[in-house]
Amino acid sequence: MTAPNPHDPPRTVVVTVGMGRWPFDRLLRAVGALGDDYDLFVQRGTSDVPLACPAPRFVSPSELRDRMQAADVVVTHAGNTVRLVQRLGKVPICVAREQRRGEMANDHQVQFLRHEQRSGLAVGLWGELDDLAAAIAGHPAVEAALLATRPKPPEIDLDRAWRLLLHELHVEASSR
Amino acid sequence: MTTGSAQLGDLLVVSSAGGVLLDALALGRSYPGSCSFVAVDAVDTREELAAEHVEFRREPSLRRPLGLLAESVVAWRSMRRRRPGLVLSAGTALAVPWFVAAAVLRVPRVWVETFNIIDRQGLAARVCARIATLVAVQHPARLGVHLRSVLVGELM
Repeated sequence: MTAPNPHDPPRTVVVTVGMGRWPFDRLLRAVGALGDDYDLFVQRGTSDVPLACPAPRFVSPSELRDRMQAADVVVTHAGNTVRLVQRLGKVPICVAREQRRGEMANDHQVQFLRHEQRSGLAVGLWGELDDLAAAIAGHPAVEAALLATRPKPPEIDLDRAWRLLLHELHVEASSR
Repeated sequence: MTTGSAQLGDLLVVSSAGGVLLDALALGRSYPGSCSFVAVDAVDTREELAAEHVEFRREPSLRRPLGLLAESVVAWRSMRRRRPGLVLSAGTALAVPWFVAAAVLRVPRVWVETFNIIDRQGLAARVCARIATLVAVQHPARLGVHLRSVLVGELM
């Protein structure tokens, strides 16, 4: 697959809000206001905000990965999907669910997105999301600039993770 | 590692749907021993666990103590039958009754902090981390937040 030209306007946009029980109406209202400028696909979760594009409540993980891989821009809530998108070699546009808006039971997505934004690993949008359309339109150039400078995600070593866990569990059991 | 696995026995992974499933799957599939799952019935758990030994459950609400108690009894009975050597979860609510049952049965429990936990966790995570034998963290800054934690690096 050839890398998209950062000077070309994006065409395909995938939006995902996760599997949780909290609706994310704020993001979906902003997506609904994008009009028909893009080929949109939205995984909308429990929200009932009307959308004119394909918008299933939930999507299988394999389909979602395929759609995110093929998309010019991925817009996501600040869940674990953020890392999935980053490991696909992309920079996601992220919106954190906020407790005070009834979008989640706590603000861990707010803290996480601030962290990722500071690191240049994600583009964060806040407030009423009036800037979503502009962020999507300019994302290819922003993404190209961030990808050129940001640190790459570290290698995953699950065997090492288990060696550490089993060692610590053994130490814990021995101390009792 | 083989020695540790033989000592610890079979792994039981308890998982809700969504991002927590990804961390739980990563560790479950790489466990150097036998592994089975208890998972919330959802589109992603159905697909990802299609080839696994899995028992599907409904997500309990932390606001309904009777539901949690009932699920704890189910978990206690299931674990008495399965006799796992280790229980692991990254969340969320379903993990609480299963961790409680595991604690009662003195089965070691590993709580996995998901990658997007930077500071304050949710209620289920706080409860499970508190009663876990060990907490696996993915960020160096999270070491020391818990009584017993180990830095395992990124899992997904």
